[in-house]
Amino acid sequence: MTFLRDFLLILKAEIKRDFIFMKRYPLEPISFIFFMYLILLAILFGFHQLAGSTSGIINREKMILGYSLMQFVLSTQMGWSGQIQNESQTGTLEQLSISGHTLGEVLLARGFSQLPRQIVSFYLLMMAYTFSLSDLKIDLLHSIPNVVLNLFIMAIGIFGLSYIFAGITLLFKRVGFFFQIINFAFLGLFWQDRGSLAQGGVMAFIYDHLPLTMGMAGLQNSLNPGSSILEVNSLEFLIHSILFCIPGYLIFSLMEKKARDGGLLSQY
Amino acid sequence: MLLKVESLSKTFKTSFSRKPPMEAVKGVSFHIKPGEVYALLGPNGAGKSTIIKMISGLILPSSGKIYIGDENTSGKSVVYKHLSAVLEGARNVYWRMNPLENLYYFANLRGIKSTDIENKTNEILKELNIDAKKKNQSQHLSRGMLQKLALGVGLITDPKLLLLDEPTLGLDVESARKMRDMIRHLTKVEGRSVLLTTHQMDLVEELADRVGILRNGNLVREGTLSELKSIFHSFFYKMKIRGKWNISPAIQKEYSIDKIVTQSDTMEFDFDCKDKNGIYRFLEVIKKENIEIIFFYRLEEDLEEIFLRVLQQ
Repeated sequence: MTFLRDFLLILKAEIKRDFIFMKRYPLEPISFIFFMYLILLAILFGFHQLAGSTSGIINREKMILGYSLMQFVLSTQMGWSGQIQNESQTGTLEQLSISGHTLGEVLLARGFSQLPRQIVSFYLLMMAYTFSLSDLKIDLLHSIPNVVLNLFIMAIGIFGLSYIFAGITLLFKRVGFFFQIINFAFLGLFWQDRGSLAQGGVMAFIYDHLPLTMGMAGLQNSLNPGSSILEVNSLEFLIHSILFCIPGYLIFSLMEKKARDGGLLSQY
Repeated sequence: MLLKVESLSKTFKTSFSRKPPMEAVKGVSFHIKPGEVYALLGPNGAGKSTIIKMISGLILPSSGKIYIGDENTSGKSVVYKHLSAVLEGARNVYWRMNPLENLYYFANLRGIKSTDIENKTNEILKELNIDAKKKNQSQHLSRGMLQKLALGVGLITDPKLLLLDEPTLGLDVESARKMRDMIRHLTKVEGRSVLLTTHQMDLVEELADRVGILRNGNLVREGTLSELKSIFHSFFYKMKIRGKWNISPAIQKEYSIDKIVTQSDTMEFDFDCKDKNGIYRFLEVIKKENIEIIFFYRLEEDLEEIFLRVLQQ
């Protein structure tokens, strides 16, 4: 009960803080979405120019969905490590650490407080593509509850990864470049064709059980025109995501302890 | 006892180099009573900030115990609700938020009741005299204002113990004076305890009830200002005489006569009598020279001199 009460306290503070930033800097998320939109559009245009047509060569729906999901993962995971890096510079990380809550709790609350904005960003990006490429077989409107649920559960799994990246940042600080390379690995994972992986192989097993790819598969189903409103096997997916989040939290807690031991909370 | 530190030590291990482990703090013990101001002095790297960060839970001690009230802190985050720390000056606040938003954020985070937050923040903004700038973004505030805001964030929980690490660092004379007045108000009027680190001796002389001097991670001296002054038993005097005195080199050397100021018909100087009977010998010299004394008095050593002497020992 104490944990829940404390968590709600932080969540309330973080929602208010996030709202302040959204109100004060509305162009920041919009410009991010706009540039992400342009990048994939340029990639698709490049394919079109090279091959004469993109149809038949690539699955544009999967490519757009994978790319939008990468943006979703990026803003969550990079957000946490970026915050750790910035706040160790401004000293607010130390203030958070003596607030009576652990950094892990604060980050989790931040993750949840920023989730609605990230889901809206995902939707805006997807909408931008469906308006630009009218022949896409994506139905955004009927699937809203399903997509939101999918993204929400998927985010819990991503939090596990975000914790690990945040812990690495806490210990080593300037590691942004390393994470940017890792993000391309996510893109590869999202664009990976499940059918091309050997049945019963390790890669197929990993693919089937990663929250990221489970979320991707769920979203692919949900966004198909004609899919039912609640297509996701939510409970299994939720358990997977939580199982990914908990080790991340524990690893982060160990790294936080290591950072406190080495006096690294304020070094940058 | 509000804060008790027992045999506190910290050794930083160097994971990725062959350098030997660095002992930053070596078995330091001290305590702070309610309403007391305790100043930690020491040259850069003496271990002052490490001690403050260990007390606030930001650095884990290698050994030793820290009690806040009767509770052993040992990583229990709930204990930290009784204290606030303002570390390294103007850091500690969100620069993209204004003072009001910063105070609200930290009040929410620290679990202050919604009904109390408005009164509490308005009270702090007025008390710290940043009311007029409460809606200016913090990144546009002066360093002095930011420092006050950082202090305000520390005060939001109404802590009994404030840890202030270099609270006047980088401030101009006027802002430093205001900060000093504020700390005096918090301690002498509001009765809070403060653990302070600074290089400004005038701040310590004015505010501190007790002083601890650190050198290479060891607490080498501790006591009230008068206790520290009595350790060295210095015998410096100032004297003003009528007319002029041609001081012989032998006398000048024996009494280390210094800071000589000559005016039209008077002369003023400092001298060192070395021991308690030295003044009588010096007065004999003056008497022999038939010099009229206007006044003389014993000079009290200031904290800076004591501090330097401790470090030289």
